[in-house]
Amino acid sequence: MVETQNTAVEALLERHLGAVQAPGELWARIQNPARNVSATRRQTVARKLAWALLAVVVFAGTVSSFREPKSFAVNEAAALQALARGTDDLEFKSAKAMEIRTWVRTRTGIELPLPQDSPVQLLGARVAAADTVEVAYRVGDRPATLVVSKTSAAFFERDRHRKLNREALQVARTYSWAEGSQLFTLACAVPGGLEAACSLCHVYGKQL
Amino acid sequence: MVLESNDLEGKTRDVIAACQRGERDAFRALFEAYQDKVYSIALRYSGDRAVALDIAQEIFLKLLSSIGEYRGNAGFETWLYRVVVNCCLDHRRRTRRIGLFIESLWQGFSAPKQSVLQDLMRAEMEEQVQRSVASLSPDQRIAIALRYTEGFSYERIAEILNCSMGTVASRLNRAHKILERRLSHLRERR
Repeated sequence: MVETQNTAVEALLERHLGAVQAPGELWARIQNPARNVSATRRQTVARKLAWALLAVVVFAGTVSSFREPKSFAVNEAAALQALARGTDDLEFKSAKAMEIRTWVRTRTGIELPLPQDSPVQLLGARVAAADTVEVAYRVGDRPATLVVSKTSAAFFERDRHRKLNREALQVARTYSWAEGSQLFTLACAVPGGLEAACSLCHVYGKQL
Repeated sequence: MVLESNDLEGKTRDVIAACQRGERDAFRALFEAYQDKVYSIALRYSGDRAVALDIAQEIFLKLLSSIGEYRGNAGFETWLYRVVVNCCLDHRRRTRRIGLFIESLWQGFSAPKQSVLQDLMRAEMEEQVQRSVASLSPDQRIAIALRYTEGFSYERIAEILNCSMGTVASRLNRAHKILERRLSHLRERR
C-alpha cells in the first residue's frame, strides 16, 4: 500500500495537529471518579453562555443607544425645519382631517391618527422624503407640526408615548415616540405649547 | 514508579500485571506514560479541550476497570489505542453546533495574551485546522488524529482500527480532499 504523498494539506495537518500536553487536572479527575465526567464541560459551556449573553446585551445596548436617538434626532430636526419654513411650501393644503389622511396614505402609505373632530386648525401636509410626512396645524395662535416617518429600526422604548412626561412637554419644543413601524415627532414653535399640540390627535383627553 | 513510553514494551508485562493486581503506583506510571498521547488524540478528535478532557478521563477510567481483561494476545499499545478509539467514537457530539458558535464568541473575548503577531496567526491557523478536522466524519477524524497526532503508518492505523489499509487510505484520502478545500486559504497565507 502506497501512502499518500506529502501534499500541502498534509504538511499543514502535521504542523497543526501535533501532540499536546495533558492538563494537570486529568489525574485528579481520574482519582476522583465520582466527579461528573462532564463537569468541566458544563462549567465551560456555562461560562461561555454567560459571555455570549453579555455580548448580546452589550450589542443590543449599543444598537439602541446609536439608533434610537439618531432616528428621533432626524425626525426632530425635520419637525423644527418644517416649523421654520412655515406653511408656504405645503404640498397639500386642507383643513379637513380625512382629506389629509387620505392624501398622506396615498402618497406614502403612512397612516395618520387624525380624528375628524380635532380642535386644532389643520393647514395641510407635505411629503418631506419617501418615508416622511409633515402635517402643519395651529393650536390657537401657535404653529405646530407633526412629523411621521417609517422606520425599521429596533426600539427598546416603545411605550414612551404611554409614559408621557407632562412636565417635559412644558419646557421642550419637540417630543418623539415610536409606534408600530412609525416614528412620531410633535413640535411646537412656542416652548410650552407641546401639551396643547397633543390635541391634534387627543380629543378631550382620549387617545385614538 | 516512573515509566517512559519508549521502554514500556520491556516493562509492559510487569506493569500490566501490577495494574491488574490493583497497584496504584503501576496505574500512575501507565497514566504518566500515556496521558499526553491519549489527551492529544481526544483533543484532535473532538476539537474541544473540555470535551477532550472528558474523553481522556473516560478512557483512563475504562482502562482502570478493564485492564484485567487484557490478556496480552495483542500489543498493549494496540489494545490501549483501541480503547481510545472506541471512547472517542462513542462520545456523543452533543451541543457541537451551538458549542462552536459559543466557542467563537468566547474566543473573541478571551483573546490570546501573546502580543507577538506570529503567535496569534499560528493560534488562529491551528484553530481553523482544528475546526475543519472537527467537521469531518468520526471515522475520518480518528484516522486523521492517529496519522498526524501520533504519526502512525497506515498499517498501524489499520491494526488499531481493525480494518484494512485500503480502508484507512480511503478515509484519509477523502479527509485530505475535504480539508484541502476548506483550508485552501490557509495554504495561500503560509
